[in-house]
Amino acid sequence: MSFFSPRNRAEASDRLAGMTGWAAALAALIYALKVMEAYAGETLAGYLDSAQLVGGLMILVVFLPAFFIIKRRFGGPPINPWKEDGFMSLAIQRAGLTGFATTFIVLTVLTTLDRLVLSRMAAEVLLDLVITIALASFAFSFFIFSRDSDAGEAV
Amino acid sequence: MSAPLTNRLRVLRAETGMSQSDLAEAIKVSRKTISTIEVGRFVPSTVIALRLARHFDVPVERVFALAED
Repeated sequence: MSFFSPRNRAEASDRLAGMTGWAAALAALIYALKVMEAYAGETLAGYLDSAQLVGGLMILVVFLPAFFIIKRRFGGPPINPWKEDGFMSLAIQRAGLTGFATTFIVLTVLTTLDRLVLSRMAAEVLLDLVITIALASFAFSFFIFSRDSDAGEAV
Repeated sequence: MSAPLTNRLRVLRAETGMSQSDLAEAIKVSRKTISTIEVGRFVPSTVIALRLARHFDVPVERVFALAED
């Protein structure tokens, strides 16, 4: 059974939630590359720009179709990992809270370091950095909270 | 997340010959919800607990119990 071919709706629900984490991680990487691009030389900036394009296309070409294929493959109402009051829903909520708290702490620290950091950064780069931190902390904490406990899968 | 809650989910599942995936499908939750309940990592909502009990046709106390101090 591969990541994109779950056996039933219950496993598809886990896959959909898992894809949320991977898509957030990929989006974080794209924004991190944007931040790096701002400080890179011309040649390296070109490569970083292309890498961002590839990452963006991966989200569009791999994740979005897989998302809809999984949802359409199984008949009946889908098991929505974001709405059902199950484990993955809780993991997403906790990851969202961790992402918010991390971003808030980073912003608070940055405001105290205004002369050291903020005055040397363009607003666009700063925003990209904050988005990177928010997405990365969400994705990382989601993977931690939702790590598998497959013990006892067999009957 | 450890819980002061024990459950007989694995036993009931074995008695009926169901996999975690089958049980999850039957009560409309994700498979990880079942696996994490079984190992005590996730405390289910009242709705999920009642759905599990109804599925096995037993009182909810036969599925879940407070752990003895």
